[in-house]
Amino acid sequence: MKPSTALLLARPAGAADRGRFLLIAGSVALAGALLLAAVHILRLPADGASGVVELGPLSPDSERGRGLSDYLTDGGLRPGVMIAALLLAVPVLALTVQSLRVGSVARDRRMASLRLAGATPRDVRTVAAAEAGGGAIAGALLAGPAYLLLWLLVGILPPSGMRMLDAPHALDLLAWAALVPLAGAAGALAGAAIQGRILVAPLGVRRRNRPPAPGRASRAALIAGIALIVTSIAAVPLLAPHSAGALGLLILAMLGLLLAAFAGGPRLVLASARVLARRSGAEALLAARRLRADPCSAGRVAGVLVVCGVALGVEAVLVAELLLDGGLDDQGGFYLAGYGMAALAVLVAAAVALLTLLVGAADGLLDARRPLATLSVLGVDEQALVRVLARQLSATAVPAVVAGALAGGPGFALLIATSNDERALEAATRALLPAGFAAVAAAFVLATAARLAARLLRSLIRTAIDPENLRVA
Amino acid sequence: MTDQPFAPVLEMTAVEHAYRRTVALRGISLSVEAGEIVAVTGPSGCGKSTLLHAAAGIIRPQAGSVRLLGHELETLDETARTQLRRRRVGIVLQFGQLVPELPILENVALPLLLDGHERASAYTAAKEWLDRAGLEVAGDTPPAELSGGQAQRVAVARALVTGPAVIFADEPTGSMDTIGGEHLLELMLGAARDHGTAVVLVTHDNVVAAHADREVRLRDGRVETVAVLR
Repeated sequence: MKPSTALLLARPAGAADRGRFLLIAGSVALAGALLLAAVHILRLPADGASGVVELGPLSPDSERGRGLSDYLTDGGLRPGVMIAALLLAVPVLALTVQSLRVGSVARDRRMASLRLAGATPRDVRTVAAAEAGGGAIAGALLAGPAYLLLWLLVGILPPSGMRMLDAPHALDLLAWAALVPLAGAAGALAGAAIQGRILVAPLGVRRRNRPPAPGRASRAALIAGIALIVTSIAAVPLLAPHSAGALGLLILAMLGLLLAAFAGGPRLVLASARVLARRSGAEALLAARRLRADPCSAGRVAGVLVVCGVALGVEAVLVAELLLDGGLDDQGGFYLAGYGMAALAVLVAAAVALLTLLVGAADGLLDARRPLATLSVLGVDEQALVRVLARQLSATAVPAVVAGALAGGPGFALLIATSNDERALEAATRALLPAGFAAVAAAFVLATAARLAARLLRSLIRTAIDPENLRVA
Repeated sequence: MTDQPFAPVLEMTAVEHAYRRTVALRGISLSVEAGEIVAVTGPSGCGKSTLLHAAAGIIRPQAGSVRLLGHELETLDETARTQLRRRRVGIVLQFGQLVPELPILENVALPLLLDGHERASAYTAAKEWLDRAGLEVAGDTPPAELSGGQAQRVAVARALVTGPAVIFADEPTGSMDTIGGEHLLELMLGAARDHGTAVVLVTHDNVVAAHADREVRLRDGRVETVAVLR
């Protein structure tokens, strides 16, 4: 197939296509801006001055690096800021992956029509790759302006001494230029891989290879992730604090956490669905069945929320230690402000994760119009379906964040106690209280957000249960 | 892919196919000559559509052989069968099955574009076939704005745009009124006769079947009768 034909067939035409394209481009732009920020912070020299290119009135300060927050100028704290930027990009990328699946029913129908018109299975994958790659390239191109916006928000508007980014450097342009083809290639590969799981025949979708439950590969990834966390953390005390080796181990531990969280996410969702199914009531049962039908999409979000929970648990332990150790003197205030910013970052990540759940749920409603219309005919009303959706969302989000906080807080306390030759078990037990408090607070916030999110989808539910869908959907 | 020298465009021998426990075809044999118009008729569930899908290589029958334009379909992989359909076969289904996101000109040009033709020449050929189909709408009209009859005419134009050796049509007039159906048959069968294209036409409508050279009537997955009509 000629590239021009692939582009012709991949251009967004229907409302679902346009929505998918915008979601992909928007999420890639945001993730790209965060990655560019992380790379920028990584390049900062030890004294905090970055060798900025002066941009006249756009420069935050005439003097290089001046006005940057101590969280960036302090070589020991800067990696934390960089890792926070990287971790913030993770939920946004999860939103990208979810966005690739938006409008799958309409797309399947289009792909089947293409097959009938003479497109080979490879042609269909090429079209899917061009579609996803195009959205990712558009997003990567927008990542530059998004980075400038980020700089405006955290590098110009805050008062001097609290800025988290300095003026863009010529090397940022290079990083941006590199991001565009990389994002395009990654998007195309992801698009082709997702399409590759669906066997589209000229008469419609013949088989959708969606594993009903996480298999051996995910179990291996979960074990590998946990092993990576344990070995990295065990090795940290052996290296000099703030050394490159220690930073490398910390990043490895983070990668292990991500691997374990994303591999464990679908298992957590399935476990949650099993608990839900045991409760009495049709709504709980319906919510459980919907979760079991596709644990992987919800599992990705659960993975993100596990990481958010870990971050909250660690923060809760740090804040508790800070308050116990001497309260809010100047240094305490400095750290407390840092924890506040980190909490804000976790909140943003959790909000993006919820948005991902919402996108998936909305798409699921459109996919399931006929069965939902059938339920409506059987007497399940709109209110009941809103409650089913709220249960489905909270059953994904709440256990994930609680598990993350309860594992993260005591785990972190264990690490600190081990490296300081203190009683590890006692420290971990003591950490359960602040971590539990963080878990309960986060669970309450997420359950409330899930109820609100379900109400947001009420009009879509109303459309989905229209009896007309029994005939045409 | 080069077609082998052949006399019949389609030869099906002892073809059998079942969907789980439901047997659709029970040892069907059928031969269609170049330029011949064959109507496949019979009651609902007798296997008409399955026969057409097997003949066009859309499904792989579980037993027997299908030789289409000199190619043994069971020896071709999915890509090769698709390429054969794209270049030498036209398909018209009951509801047109147009690509909803593409305007009608691009829908008709699609088989040529997929085959690597230049866009300008593909569009010219598509425009020509849309004109011949007698559609009084612009080429940039989306399929959603067409009536059922108009959509079927676009589907016929798309089936004919590559100059196929054989057309498979499954209830092409099934969603149309009598006059619309007559017009569609005139378009499809007229073009087929002009170009020496064979047509295999699945229908349950005797009026439609009367346009064929031969009628093959199925019952319970078997050929019940064969009647030469002209």
